[in-house]
Amino acid sequence: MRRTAQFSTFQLINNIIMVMLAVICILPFLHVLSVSLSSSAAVSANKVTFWPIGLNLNSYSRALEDTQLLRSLWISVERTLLSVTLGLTVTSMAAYVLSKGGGQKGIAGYKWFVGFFIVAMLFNGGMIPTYLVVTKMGLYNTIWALILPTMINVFNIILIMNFFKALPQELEEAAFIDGAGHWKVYLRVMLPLSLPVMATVGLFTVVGEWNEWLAGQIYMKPENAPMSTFLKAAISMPNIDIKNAEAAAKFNALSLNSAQIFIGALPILLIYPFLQKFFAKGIVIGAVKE
Amino acid sequence: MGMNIAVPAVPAKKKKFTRQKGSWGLYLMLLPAVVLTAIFVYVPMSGLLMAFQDYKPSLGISKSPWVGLDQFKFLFEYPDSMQVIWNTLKISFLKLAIGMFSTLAFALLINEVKHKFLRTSVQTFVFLPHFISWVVLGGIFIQLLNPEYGLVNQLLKALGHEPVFFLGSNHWFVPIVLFTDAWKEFGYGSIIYLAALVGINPALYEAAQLDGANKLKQMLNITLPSLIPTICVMLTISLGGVLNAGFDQIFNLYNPLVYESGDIIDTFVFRIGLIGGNFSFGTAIGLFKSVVGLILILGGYRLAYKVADYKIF
Repeated sequence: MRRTAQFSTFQLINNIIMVMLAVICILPFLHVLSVSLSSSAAVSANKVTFWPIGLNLNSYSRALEDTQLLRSLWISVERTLLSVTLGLTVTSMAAYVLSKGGGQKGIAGYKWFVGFFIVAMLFNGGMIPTYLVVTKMGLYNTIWALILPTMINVFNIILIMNFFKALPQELEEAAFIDGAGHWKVYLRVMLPLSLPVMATVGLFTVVGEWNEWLAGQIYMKPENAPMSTFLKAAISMPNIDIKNAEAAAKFNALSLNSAQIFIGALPILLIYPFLQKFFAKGIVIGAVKE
Repeated sequence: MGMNIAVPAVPAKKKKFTRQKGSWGLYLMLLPAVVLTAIFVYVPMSGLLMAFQDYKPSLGISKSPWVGLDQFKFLFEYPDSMQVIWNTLKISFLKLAIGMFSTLAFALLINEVKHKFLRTSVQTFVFLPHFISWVVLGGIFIQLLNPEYGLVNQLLKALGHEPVFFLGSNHWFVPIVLFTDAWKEFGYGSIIYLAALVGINPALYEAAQLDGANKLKQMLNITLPSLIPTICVMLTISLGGVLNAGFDQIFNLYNPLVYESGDIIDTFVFRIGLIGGNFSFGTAIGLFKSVVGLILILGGYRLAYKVADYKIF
């Protein structure tokens, strides 16, 4: 460890600062996790800081008894899976076409299409007109209201397009000479080679869809709300168990709330190791320019 | 790639035919993206006409009465909306300044950590908050800052202070918003600077070391100047976002007590326009915001191009 002879005081102090920053970033999570795992007596006595006291899983079993929470979890899973698969398909197809450019290799009207997407990236109708369009299409309270309006992200198209452009041309040309058409080149040559960028965009989509709550609030009835919307409602109106006469009822609600918060964040925490691996790559890919 | 379709050499004439057939496939591949963008981005743009009407849901856009610029006049006369615009600009600029400083400082310091394991584990922890939603973080901070049982107030009480209702106080709300935003993003935001740091020529440091420059001097004279182009790009690009002060964060932290200091354009549009059913007024504010935002984005890109030769497409 002490490979460098000049292990200075600067480095020592710097390392301590860095560790402190890391700790500051996870302490809030640790506290809520501890509250969710502690006994209600310890919670109501304000004894819990960063370590559970009277470890038990009561809050979790109570949270999971709520059929609405389970339903919301399922809707979030469904929404996320559909968004990722459909979004990646549509986005990568568009990126493939746009990576060809105009002229002989690509499509006529290439510039017109680029303009079409760039304007869409820079300007939109805003919250209220979009809301009216979605509801008028009859998407209200269907899972498609959560998926379709945000499926095209122009930034992702640019990201994948730049990746396609950076792949060696010869591979494509060889496939064309072998008689493959564009669909075959896209499916058999480009997609298998673009796993890193697809994973990056896919993981970012998963995080975005899982965390998004506003569409769930304005387009869905409460019984069909996704997890983050359910959580938003549970947090702003902690469901205090009125029938429960014991004095600590409120603090049980606090513990329950903490458990709900953790269940809501859990999927992101579970995919975080994969995210970590890919996002740095993604940033580098995003920086690739002609 | 497992493609063993043996095709004899194609004569020039036939090749042309193949290309035409292929380009039909290209249009088909582009179609879903074009249709979705047309429906969910371009059709709503026509809804912007509402900003110039007194929109009645029963009449629709085609039959609602025209009122010209009345909604905009109202926007600039209505005292709440001026407060909201001011809040938006204030929160946004302060976030920008604090965010820039904290990410840059962190990037410079983590870059000096030589121990690889320490470096990657610190990064793992400080990047985490970026990926957690404001719904979850809002829940966590509401608990931590609660005046009765929140951990922060427990600490204040232990130190002999009065508990503070942080999220219910117009004095404290904006500082909390700024602090939690910096806390969430300083780690992840540093990636862009760390990427730029990798590109610095190590010979510069060696030369400086030979000249007897210490770490601080190296940082000030080599590292920081090397980052200036990146800083310029980040600053000019973020110009486009100054009217976005962070809907998700504020909506998940605020309550009616702090509308005065915390209400921003987006939360105002949501509350007055969508929840209040005042579609025309809400659309007018939204349009005002989009137009100003667009001008700033285009200006910012132009500036970034001039200052640092940055191009996005």
